[in-house]
Amino acid sequence: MCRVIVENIDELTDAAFAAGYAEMSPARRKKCDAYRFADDKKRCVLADMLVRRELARLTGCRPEEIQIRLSDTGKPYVDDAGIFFSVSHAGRLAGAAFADREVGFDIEQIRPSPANLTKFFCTDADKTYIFGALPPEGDVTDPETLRRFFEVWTYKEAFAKLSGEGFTKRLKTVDFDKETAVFSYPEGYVICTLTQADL
Amino acid sequence: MLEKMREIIGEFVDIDPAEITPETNIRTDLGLNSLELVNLAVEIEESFDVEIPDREAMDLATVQDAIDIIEKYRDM
Repeated sequence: MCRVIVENIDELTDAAFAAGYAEMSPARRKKCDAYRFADDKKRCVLADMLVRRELARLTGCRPEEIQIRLSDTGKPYVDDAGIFFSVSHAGRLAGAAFADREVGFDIEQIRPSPANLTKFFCTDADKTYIFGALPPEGDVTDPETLRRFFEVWTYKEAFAKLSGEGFTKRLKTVDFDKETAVFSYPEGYVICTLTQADL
Repeated sequence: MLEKMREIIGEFVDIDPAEITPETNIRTDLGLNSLELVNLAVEIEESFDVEIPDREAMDLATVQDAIDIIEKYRDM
């Protein structure tokens, strides 16, 4: 089982924001308060709300009863042994994937990016997939190349979140494997979902 | 160095450079996610002519951390 929910912060009303904020844990509220920009606060609240809502639906509890914990590496989880989830937000979108096994989920907004960013997260095979050759100088701007760049980035982020290790050097040793992930492409974004069974 | 850092971050994020202090947290105050953080790391590398190890780039929390890293690797 794997379910993905993605919502847009532009649809978050002030009333819904206030209600969602009130439902968050004190620690999460503190994190939200630390964000300087309104959009970051909205993404924080929206992500928390949709996770609570879905976990409530899956467990039969009320949203405010859901206790979201954080591991040492910052990975969120709940005590229910059968439910796993992964959260991400970027641009106007916030979302999460829910599954009955470990899952990693990442949303990125497609924007021109420096080609040499690939040194942080790409194997040689990944670079060939993205560029067809060595990374060029300067920014990636070609739409097709950008799409592939973000496919690899979101895959590596999803992998990092699934493993709970966070962003590590290991990402440069794991090849991007498109067949093992599920991608979606809302206008201007790439979304990747990866479950343990797929790897 | 703080001045130059302010300039770089100011171009990167829509913020008045004067509001950036050494204690400014790059993730929470500036709202940067992992990709944006790595982007910033590359920008810093190019502007200061240093090479930041990947893991340390991802561990950057505050502006002071960034300054410390530049100083650490610039002298090498």
